[in-house]
Amino acid sequence: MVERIFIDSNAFFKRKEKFMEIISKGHSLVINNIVVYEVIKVLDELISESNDKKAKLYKMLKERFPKLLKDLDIEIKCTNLDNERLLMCYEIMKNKNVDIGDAIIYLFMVDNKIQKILSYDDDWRKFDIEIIR
Amino acid sequence: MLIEKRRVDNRGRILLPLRGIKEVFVCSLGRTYIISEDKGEIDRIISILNEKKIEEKKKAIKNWFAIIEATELEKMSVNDLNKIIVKSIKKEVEKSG
Repeated sequence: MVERIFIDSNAFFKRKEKFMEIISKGHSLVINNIVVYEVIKVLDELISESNDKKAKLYKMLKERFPKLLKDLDIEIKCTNLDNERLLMCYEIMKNKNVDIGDAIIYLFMVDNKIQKILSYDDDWRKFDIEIIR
Repeated sequence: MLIEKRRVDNRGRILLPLRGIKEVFVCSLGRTYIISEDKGEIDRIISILNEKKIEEKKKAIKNWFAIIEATELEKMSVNDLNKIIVKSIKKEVEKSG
């Protein structure tokens, strides 16, 4: 059965095998604007902090990222926030002791009825979703 | 294999040379359509296309992670990755004065 799986930012940097497995099963993959922001932020920081050789590789990753998303048919969706929903994020942050990024992603997953996330972040254990790793 | 050009009328219809056939199956793949009287044949083509697509996706992942491995980013913990994001945001705030 084809499922929709949310891909957390850390999954783009860790464990090729799990990504391969999900792709082999033909699942449809989804991210939101928070993930795009986090991946680019990590790469930008690494580019500025690394020596020439590594910086070149990080630049290569940054340039290739949009193509990777396209090649993998990863759906990029935007999380819409209004004041009411922002307050819901605050509730999630408070109740689950997570950061704003995770709260927005969780809200996004609930809105889009996505039950699974590919992530290596233990914070997701606090939520009623299935973690793939 | 022959690709033919056919006109679409102003109501979005095309005329196909399918004499003696009462109904066909149509599968749309974005802007591409597969039309056949045999549903099994469409299923077979879709299956071949899916396999091909999965192979291409695997290749894309392989290429991406080849660079990740060269940087040794895989060894970095999630906590370290989160710290990098925070550091980067901090820098941005400081830069903006």
